[in-house]
Amino acid sequence: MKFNRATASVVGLLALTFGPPKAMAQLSSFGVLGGSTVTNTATPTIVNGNLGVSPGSAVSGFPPGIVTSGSIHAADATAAQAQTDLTALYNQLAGNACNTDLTGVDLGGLTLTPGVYCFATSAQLTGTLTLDAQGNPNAIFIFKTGSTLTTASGSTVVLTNSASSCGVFWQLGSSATLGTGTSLVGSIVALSSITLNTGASVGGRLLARNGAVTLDGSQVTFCTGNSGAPFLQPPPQTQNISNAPAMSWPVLAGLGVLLAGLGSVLARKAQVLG
Amino acid sequence: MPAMTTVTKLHPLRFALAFTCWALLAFGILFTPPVQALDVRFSRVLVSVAHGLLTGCGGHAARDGAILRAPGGFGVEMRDGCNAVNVLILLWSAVLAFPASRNMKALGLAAGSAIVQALNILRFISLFYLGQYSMTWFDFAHAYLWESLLVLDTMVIFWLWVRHAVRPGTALYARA
Repeated sequence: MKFNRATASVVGLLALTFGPPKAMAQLSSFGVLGGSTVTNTATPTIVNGNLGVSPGSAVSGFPPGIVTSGSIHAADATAAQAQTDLTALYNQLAGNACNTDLTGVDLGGLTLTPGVYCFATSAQLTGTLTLDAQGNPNAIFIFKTGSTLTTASGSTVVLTNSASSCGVFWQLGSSATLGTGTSLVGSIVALSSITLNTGASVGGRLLARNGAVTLDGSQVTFCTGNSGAPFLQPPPQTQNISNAPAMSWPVLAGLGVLLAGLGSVLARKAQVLG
Repeated sequence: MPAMTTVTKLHPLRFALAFTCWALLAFGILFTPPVQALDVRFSRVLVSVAHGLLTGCGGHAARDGAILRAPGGFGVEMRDGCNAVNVLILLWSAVLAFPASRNMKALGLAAGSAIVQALNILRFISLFYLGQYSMTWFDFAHAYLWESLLVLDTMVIFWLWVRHAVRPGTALYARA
């Protein structure tokens, strides 16, 4: 199951040579892109980045779902361009030759190094899949399935040795269904639909060409680490987080002195009966 | 024949010393790794409560761990020191150091904690909205307004509790 850096480099070089990186600029800004609909069935769903649908136009459940660092594009030119990019990305991923055939093998419990992994039909993840980049932060992992990707409840993908969620791609012949509480990383690039059951989260992107994207108390956050090159450009990082300390330490010390003084004055007035 | 009682004044330094000891002990405990982990969880609970209040009142926000996010991308994170536990420690130390009955101390701890945390959640929600409107206002409210209000609030809580605990003509602290 192990692959060396040379394999990853070849994969990256081929994609870099034949891929259309400029065309992916629009798509790179999307956290969620659906073909027919995008539906959120429960709060609190959070999508980091643009959320779009095209050629369909129905986006429901936002709000109460939240889109951060992006906006909703329903059947507009931006979403249409992103869908065009998505088709190119899908074909680009599909065109990568397989390094390993994992047909019939559950991904749970495996530790995989960079490379292209293929499933003739469906892929199943039950438990924990570990992706080991072997110290290469630009490592690429590609999973190709003939049909579906299904994860059991609570399944997880763990990244080790500099692996980046931006370097993980799931190219699916039909659809993805993530079980309750699943924590997946990477960009899901599906021909039809993507469904996240309650509480499932993805550190990457949900990109469906023809079908629906369904979310349920989900969190979709942009991938982190490498840019995702050569397939996608870096996600926009426009988060604006402020922390809110209740009290700075000097003021806290001042409050301590004030309380000590007030208490001393009040204690002096208090009487003790003995 | 009625028992003889003597009336004496408490030495003010005794309170100051006890207060300092309680505060040092509590902060020492707060910075131990297990309690720090609980502290982080507590922050998340507070953010959950703030999120529940916001959405319950029709507001739009999403909770992401200890971060409260707005649709526009702005978020307020409750990090260490944001959950007002350090303020509570000072209030608890003052209540514990002050001579009062156990029941009164329990009342002071519980009511004081509830009021301080209610104010802290209000502070957090207000900062969440202020940050979306103007970071200048956010910084002002964050650094000056709410700090002053929390100081005032803690002092008033303690003062009111002492007034309640030590009523004229009653002895709530009996020297053995």
